[in-house]
Amino acid sequence: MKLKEFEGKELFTKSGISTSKGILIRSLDELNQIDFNTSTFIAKVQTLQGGRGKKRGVRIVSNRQDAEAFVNEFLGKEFHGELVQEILLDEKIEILKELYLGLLFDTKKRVPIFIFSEQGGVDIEELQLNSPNKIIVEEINILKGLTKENCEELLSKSSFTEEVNFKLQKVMKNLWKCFTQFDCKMLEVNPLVITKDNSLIAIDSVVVLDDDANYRREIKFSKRMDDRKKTPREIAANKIDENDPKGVAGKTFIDLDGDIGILTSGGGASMTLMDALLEYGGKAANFTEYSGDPSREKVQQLTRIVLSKENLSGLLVAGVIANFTNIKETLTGVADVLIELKPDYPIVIRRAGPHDTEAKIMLAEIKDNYGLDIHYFDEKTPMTKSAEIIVELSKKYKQKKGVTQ
Amino acid sequence: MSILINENTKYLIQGITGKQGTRAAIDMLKLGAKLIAGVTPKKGGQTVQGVPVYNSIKEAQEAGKIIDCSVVMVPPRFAKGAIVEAIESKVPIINIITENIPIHDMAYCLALARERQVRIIGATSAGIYSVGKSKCGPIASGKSKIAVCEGPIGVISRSGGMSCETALVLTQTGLGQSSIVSIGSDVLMGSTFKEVVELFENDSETEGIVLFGEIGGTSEEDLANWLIKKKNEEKPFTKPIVAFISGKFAENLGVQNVSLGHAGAIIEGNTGTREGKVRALKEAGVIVAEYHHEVGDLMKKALIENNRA
Repeated sequence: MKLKEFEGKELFTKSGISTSKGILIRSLDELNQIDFNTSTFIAKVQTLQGGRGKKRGVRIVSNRQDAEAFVNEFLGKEFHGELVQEILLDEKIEILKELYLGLLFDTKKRVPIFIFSEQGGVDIEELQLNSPNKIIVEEINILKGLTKENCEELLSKSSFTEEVNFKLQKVMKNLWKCFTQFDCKMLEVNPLVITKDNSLIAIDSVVVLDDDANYRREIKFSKRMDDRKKTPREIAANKIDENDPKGVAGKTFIDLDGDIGILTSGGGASMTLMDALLEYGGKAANFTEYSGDPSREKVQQLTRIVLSKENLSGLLVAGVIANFTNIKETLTGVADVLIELKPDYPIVIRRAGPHDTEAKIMLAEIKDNYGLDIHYFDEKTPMTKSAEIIVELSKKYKQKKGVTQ
Repeated sequence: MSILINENTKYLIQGITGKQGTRAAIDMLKLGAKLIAGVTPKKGGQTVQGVPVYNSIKEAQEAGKIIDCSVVMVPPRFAKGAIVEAIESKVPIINIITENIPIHDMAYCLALARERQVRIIGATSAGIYSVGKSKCGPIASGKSKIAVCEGPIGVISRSGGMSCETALVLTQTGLGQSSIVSIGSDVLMGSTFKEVVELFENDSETEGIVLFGEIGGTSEEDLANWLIKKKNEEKPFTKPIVAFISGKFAENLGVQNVSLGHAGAIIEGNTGTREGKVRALKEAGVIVAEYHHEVGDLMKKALIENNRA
C-alpha cells in the first residue's frame, strides 16, 4: 500500500527523522484556526501520484485568501483522476541544499539497497539519465543491518562538513529503522534538505508498505480509495465470501464492457485464459475467479452476478485441472443459475478434477432437459483452447441473432 | 540423474499437522516420496499418516532423521522462524510453499541461505516434481497427476496452477517431463528462472525447457541477460527453451504489481512488462509462444531442429 505524503512523514517522525511541520486541512473551515500573519506555507495536494509539483498541485500561499483559493480549487475535487481528501499546509523552509535518500529491494540481487544523491529535489529517473555518477547505490546486508561502513560509502563522493556528515549518517540510520520497523517495501525522502542552520529536514515522502506485514505494523492507515468507484456487480461479488470462508468466489471481480461472461479458477490460470480470450479477439464482460473448493451456493451467487449482465453472447467457465475443488459441486452452482435463466447463448465449460465425471453427466442432463447450448470439455482439451471455442461460438451466435459488433 | 530432488530424497514438512501440510503429506506418500518426518511445535509425538511429528527439526535430527529437503507449509507469520530453523539445521534444500510472507522476512532468509549455501525454492511455490521419481509440496496433487508423464522436458513455472497445465500441454504433444519446478512469483524469489535453467543445463535427462512467466519482477530479463552473456562467452546454452509469458490482459487493464515508485526505475528500468520480457527472451534465443497451448508443438519443433528429438 502506498502512503500519502503526510502519512509517510508520520512514519519518519516516529523513526526520529525531522520533517517539515505541516497542518492537514480536511475542510475549508479548518483554515480559520491558522495564523497567516506570521507564516507563509507551501500548500500541497495529498495524493498518491508522483509529480504533484509539475502538475501544479503545489503552491506557495502567504495569506488566507491564497489558501482559500487553493483549498477551493483542489479539496474534494479530482486531481488527475484522484480524489483530493486532504491538503497539507507545510511550513516554508529556507533551503541550502536538497538531497535524495531511498531504500528498496533489488529484485535481481535480492537484497535491500540504499540510494543516496546530493542532488535531490528532482526525479531520480531524471537524475539517473542526466548525471548517473551523482547517484550512489549501496547494498545492505540485512543480517547485519545498515552499518557505519555502508553510510560512509554512501557519503564517499560528497564533501559535506563533519557536522552535516554526522547528522546525515544519523538520518540514514533512522531511515533504515523506519524501513525495517514499519515493513516498508520502498521509501524515499526527496528532498531531504539542509537548512541554513545545518538542520536536516525531510520535506516530502514516498512510502510503499508491504501489505503482507500489515498484521504486525504498530501503526494502521486508513484503506486506500479505489481508483474508480466499484460497480454494483463488483460490490455484490466482493461480498460473497463474507459469510462463508471456505474457498473464494468473487473476491476479485472486474466489470468489463465485452459480451462474454467469465468464470475462471486459479490465479495464473485465469490470467492466461483472459490473455487467450483477448488474443482470439473475444471481449470479456467481466473478470472473476473462484477457487479453493467453494460451496455450490457461493458459485451460484457468483454465476448469477456474471449472468446479470445484459446482452451476453456466451459464457466461459474454465480452469486448470483442480487438485481438490469438487467439480460436480461447483458446476452444479453454475447449472442452478443456467436452469433458472435458460440463456440461449453458448456455454463453454473446461474443467477437470475431483468428481468431474459426475459433473459431465449432470451437465449433459440439463443440456437435454432445458435445451441449453452447453459444450463441456475436460483435460483432453487444453485450457486456452476453450477461449478459442467460446469466441467462435459467440461469433456464430451473434451472426444468427443479427447482432453487429 | 535429475535436478534438486530424486527417488532417494528424504523430506520433512514444517507445518505437517496443518490442513495443507497434511494434504501434501498424503499426496507425497501416495507418490512414493520418502517423507520421513514432520515438524509442528508443541505437537511432537503425534503422527500424520504414520509420519512422526517432532517439535523441531533438531529433534527430528537427534532421532536419527537425515533431512535432504524441508517443505515449509507454515502460516506466513511463522515462516521466517521456520526457514531460519531449516537453514540453521543445515537442510540443503528448502521448498517454501507458504504464501504472503513479509518481504523483509524473505530478504532475511534469503541472505542467511546465501551465507550458508542453502538452496531455496519459493516462496509461493507449489512444489517440485521429479517425474517418475519423487515430489514435494502440493504440486500435481489429486487428479492433476494425469497431466504429468515422464520424459525429457524440464518445466519451470512462476504460477503454481499453470505448472501442471504446462505439463499437460506437453504430455498431449507426446513430450513427457523430467522435472517440474514451481518457483513462485514473489518479488524476492529463492531461485529464479536463471538458477533453475542452470540446473537443467547439467541434467542429462533434460533435452529442452519450458517456462511459464508472468509480468512483474525481473526473473525473465535476468535469464535473458545470462543467456546472452553465455553466448558472448562462446559457451552458449544448448538446450532449446520455449516460454509463455502471461499478462497481456492484466497490462491492458492496468492491473499490475504495485509499482515500486520512482526509485524502482533505477533497478528495474523498463523491465517487468510483458512486452519487455518477450523482447528480452527472444533476443536471447528463447522461443516465445503467443498461446499457452502452443508450447508443446513449439518445443517439439525446436527439439527436431536441435537434433534432440
